[in-house]
Amino acid sequence: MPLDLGLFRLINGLAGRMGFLDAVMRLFVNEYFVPTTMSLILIALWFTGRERNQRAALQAAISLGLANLIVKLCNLVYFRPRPFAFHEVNLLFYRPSDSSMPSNPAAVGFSFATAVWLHNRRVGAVMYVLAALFAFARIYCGVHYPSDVAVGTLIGILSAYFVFKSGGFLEPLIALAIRIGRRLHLA
Amino acid sequence: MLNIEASYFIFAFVAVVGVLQVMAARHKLRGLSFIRDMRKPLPGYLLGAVLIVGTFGWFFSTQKGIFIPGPAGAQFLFLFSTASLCALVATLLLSTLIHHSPPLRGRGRSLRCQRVSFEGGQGELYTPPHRSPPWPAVCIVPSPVGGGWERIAADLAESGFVVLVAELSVSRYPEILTLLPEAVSYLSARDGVDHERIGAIGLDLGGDLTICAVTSDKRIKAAIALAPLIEEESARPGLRLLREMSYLQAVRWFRFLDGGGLLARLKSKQHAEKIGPQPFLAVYGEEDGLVSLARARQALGAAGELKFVGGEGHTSLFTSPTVASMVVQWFKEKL
Repeated sequence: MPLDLGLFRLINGLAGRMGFLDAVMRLFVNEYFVPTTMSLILIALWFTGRERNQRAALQAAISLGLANLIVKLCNLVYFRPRPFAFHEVNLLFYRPSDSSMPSNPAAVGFSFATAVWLHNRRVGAVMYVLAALFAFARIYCGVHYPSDVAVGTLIGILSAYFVFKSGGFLEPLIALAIRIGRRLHLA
Repeated sequence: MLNIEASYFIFAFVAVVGVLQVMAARHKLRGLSFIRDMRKPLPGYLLGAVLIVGTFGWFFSTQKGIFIPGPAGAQFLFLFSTASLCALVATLLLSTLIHHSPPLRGRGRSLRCQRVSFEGGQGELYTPPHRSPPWPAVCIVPSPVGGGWERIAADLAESGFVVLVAELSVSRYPEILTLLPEAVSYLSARDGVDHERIGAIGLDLGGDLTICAVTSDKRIKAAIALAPLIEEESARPGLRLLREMSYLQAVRWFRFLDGGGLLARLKSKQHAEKIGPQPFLAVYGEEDGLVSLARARQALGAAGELKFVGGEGHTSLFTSPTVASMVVQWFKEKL
């Protein structure tokens, strides 16, 4: 896939040129910063007391589970080596040993962001920016090809959309969680 | 040096506490806030921001472990969930402690107070320190939230009223209906009390009990209801209770009201239509988070006077100096 590799070289080629940009990307690339920030945003949404935000938080959690499950299933049937396995890359992160395709961080970020965006456009937009930076940083730091991120993004978006659209199927679970929260004076 | 799991737990714990402080300030959630005076949100925002920025700064500047393989997804989720739960519990408990006010009674005031028992109840009796009998008397029926009546009791006693604060010890219906009439009987029979000048004031659910009593007990010559709940809808559970009280108070209040069932049985809205000829005053805070003011206006508008106090919520109304002086002045005029 020359286009994929070309794009990877273009983005990863930026690494090591500007110390500040490297530092920012190293902050976004790790598995702690973006997922924790997004989870904190979900907690904040819950405590707004508005039902649509509480639904967004619950659907984001379910979407995350679904996206993770799909990524794990993909990993069982297909293994793609990381870019650093066969190419010379500017590696700013550790060497993950699992499959490069699909990108789990992209799936996580975009499942969160889409689930929220479907209920709350403003907060959803902020989360899309975080998800995009998370995904971009994975290419910048040399641990994913752009196509890995694209497939991960698609998995994340579709998972959240499926959870959003499967209202009848998941609705009792979500309604129960909100009802329990109300009963505990926490929703 | 802490390992990455322990560090992450601390980081998530402090960050969640910070987020809760920001949300408490934004939505005036007293039951989650560490700031006592919640009229301005800025201190809450600042506290939350310091906690969030501080813990992010600490974790990402000191933990080199974030750049090596760390906890797997499930472990990460477990750590974050546990830290969030611990942070929520700690926040609820700490804010309960911070917002717990020690009683005002006796603080810097020369009041005579004694515990008394009467049929079907107990209470605290305050007698005026400076005047000689016969005294007018006021019976206070407090809120199940607990406390809040101290300023009104002290101000009334200092203004020459005998004050009996009847304890809300029974929540069963119809037994609860006998509390105020029994307290009035006790005051009528007491030496030094002018039994032609007995009034009643109820706070929150106590206001509903006052409305119920004043329609049938003509010994009550004037009555005030501070933020009566009026209808079952006011006792809905949820986060909105934390705008008015601490978490433990909310749990106790909701349980006492039997989830609104007690209000449904009291039917104070129907009782309010029958109030008279005694003078009656109902007072609400303009920022009442529990009672719909439009519905209160509809239910109580014809029953007597209806006043709204700016800047006060449902429970903060009880401790407001403006309300205390309004109550004293009103009883002086009407009793």
